[in-house]
Order: sequence, then structure tokens, then C-alpha cells
Amino acid sequence: MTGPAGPSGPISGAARLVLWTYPPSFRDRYLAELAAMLEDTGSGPRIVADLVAGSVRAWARPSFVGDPAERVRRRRLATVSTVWVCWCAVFLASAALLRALEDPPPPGFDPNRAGWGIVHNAIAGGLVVGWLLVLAVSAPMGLRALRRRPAVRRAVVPPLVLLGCCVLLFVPLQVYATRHWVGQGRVASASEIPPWWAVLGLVWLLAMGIDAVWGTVALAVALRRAGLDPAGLRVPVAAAAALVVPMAAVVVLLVLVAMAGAHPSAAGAFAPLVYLAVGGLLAVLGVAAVSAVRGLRAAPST
Amino acid sequence: MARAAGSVRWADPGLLILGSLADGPRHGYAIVGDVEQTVGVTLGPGTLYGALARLEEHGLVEGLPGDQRRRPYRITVAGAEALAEQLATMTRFARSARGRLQARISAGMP
Repeated sequence: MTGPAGPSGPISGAARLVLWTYPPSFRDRYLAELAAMLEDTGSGPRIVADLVAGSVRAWARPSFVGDPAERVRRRRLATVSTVWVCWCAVFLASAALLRALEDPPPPGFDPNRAGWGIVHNAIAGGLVVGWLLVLAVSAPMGLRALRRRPAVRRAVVPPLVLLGCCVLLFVPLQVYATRHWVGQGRVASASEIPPWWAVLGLVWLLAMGIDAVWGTVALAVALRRAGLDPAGLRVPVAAAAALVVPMAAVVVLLVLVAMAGAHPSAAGAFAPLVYLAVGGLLAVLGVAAVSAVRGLRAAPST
Repeated sequence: MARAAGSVRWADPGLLILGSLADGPRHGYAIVGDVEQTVGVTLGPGTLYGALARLEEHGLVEGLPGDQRRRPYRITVAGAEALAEQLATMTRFARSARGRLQARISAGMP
């Protein structure tokens, strides 16, 4: 069993990075072999491009190997993780849209217009229902896993600590803003905002963005480390499938708001961005729905 | 990335892997070398392991116990049947296309 003659040596940083973008189940099974092969073939730009394409394909069309029970376990884990990540993406998109439309309202958009309140409350209601579902299922399991498994603690605690730091930083920033401009019901002019406040505000925003991504990934990692068997994953899969319903409702409302040009003056200028966002949201919903169906169909006999 | 030296377009990575494993087990790097040598197609690592994962999922190949970094794979009975079926289809296609090409040449068509 010999291979082609080629360069051998350490794996490039880019290739190593791409290897870690493969789905967890793929990495568990093939990472060692892929790494060994890269040591033999080298890891130039063409190989890295091939790895990137392979990673995209592995996410789009995951393969689960092993005995039937292990396949079901991996399929269900993938479903719960995928729907969770999609839910977080929809939640962040909703928060960004509501913030962009209401705080402060852009020119041409009146938050007091008829119907907006209903749409706002429906979006918020969908998000609340979704989070209650997430909490109801994940809280008991999460607390158990946190107590029993140090690996779960290692995944979850750091982003929680960062979240705590963000909250601690938010309080003085908000207090200062309330005293100087927010409390007076107006938007501050640039000259009113002290440089230290602007810098800390940017740091806070950056930290929140990082923590949103970190927290999302950390919970997916914690789920893998929780050591659940196929039977233990049945309820999380059912909950993930149920979560697709409020997610679909929120996405449909967001798409309607975006397509209706909630603020016509801005919609024209940002039309490509709006269409991009609409396409992204529908793609996220599609991925979650397909993954949920596959997870529900996975049965130990398959 | 299944890069062909010429303009080969039939180079489905799964089929090439099954063909390579038809005469015995090979590990990933050996499969790449064999395919490159026999049909002039270079399988990239991402393409190779993506295809191997699909074949393994469908029970057409199986990994053998051994070194985790150089795991050999062998074709299963189902894989051999799938390969034979594909080759029969390709043979029928090749025979038909060759016959038509011969007829065209015989008729003096450019």
C-alpha cells in the first residue's frame, strides 16, 4: 500500500484551521487520517481549497458512520446542534432588525404606525416561546451535565464569565448615558459623547458579539460532551423540531417586514443588503427544518 | 476536487475509490496514488475523505482495524456489486458510443 511521491512535512496553519471547520462527527472519524495524509501530500493552497470544499460538503450532506445506534446518536446530536445554531442566528437577526427600526427609528419609519406594534409583539412573542422551549428542555439536562461532567463546565463557563463581564460593563455605560442624554429622550450628538465612553461602548459591543458566537458554539460543544445516548437525545430532538415552528413564524415576519420596506426611504438604498438578509434567513430556516426532519426520522433500526 | 490530467469528466470520486479497492484494501494515501497512476485523476484529501465517508455510510466500503492515522479500507460485498453494476453500465455506454463513432468514420463524416 504505497502512495504517490509528494512533499511531506508539517501541516500549514491554514490547512489546520480548515480541518477544524469540519463537522464534529466527521472530525471524530477522519481527522487523524486527514492530518496524516496532509503530512504526506503537503498542504498548499490547492489542497486547502479542496479541504474547504470538502468541509462545506460535509456540513451540507453529513455522513454518519459506525454501528446503527452510534449513527442515530450522531444524527440526533447534529440535529439538535444545527437547530440550536439556526435559532441563535434568527434571534440575533431579529434583535438587530428591531434595534435598527426602533432605536432610534430611521428616517421614514414611524414605530407608532398602525400594525407595527402587532408585528413587533408577534416577533417578540415567537422569540419568547422559542427561548422558553429551549430553557424547558436544556435547563434540567444542562444542570445535570454541569454537575457531573467537567468537560461540559469547561465549554460553558468561559462564555458565561464573559457575559457577566459584559453585563458589569453595561451598567455604568447605561447609567452615564441615561444621566446625560437618554434620560432626556434624545439622541446624543457626537460632541456630547466622551471618548472613553465611545471606546468602552465599542469594547462592549465587540465583546457581546464575540460572546454571542462563543456561547452558541459552546452549548453545541457541551451537548456533545454531555455523553447522551440515542434515547437521551429523543426529547432534545423533538424539542428542536418544535423550535422550528416559532423560528419559522419569526423568520416569516422578519422577511415580510424587510420585503415590505418597513422604512421605504432606506429600503431603496439598502435593497441588496435587505435581499441578502432575506435570503440568509430563509436559508437558515431551511437548514433547520431539513435537519429537524432528518433527526426525527433517525431511528435505531436504520 | 477530482483533478483530471486530461478532460475526463466521468471521474466520480466514489467510483474511482471503489475501483481502486477492487483488488484489495488500501489506505487513503495509497488510494490517491493508485487512482492517479491508473486514470490520471488526482483526488484531493477533502474530496477523498468526503467520498469515503459517503461510501462507508452506505456500507460500500469499510474501515479495517489498524493504525488510526493510516486506516486501510476494503470494499464490501455491496460495494463490489455496486461497482460491477456501474462498470456494466459504463461498458454498455462505451460499446454503444464506440459503435456509433465507428459508423460515423465509416460513413466518411468529419
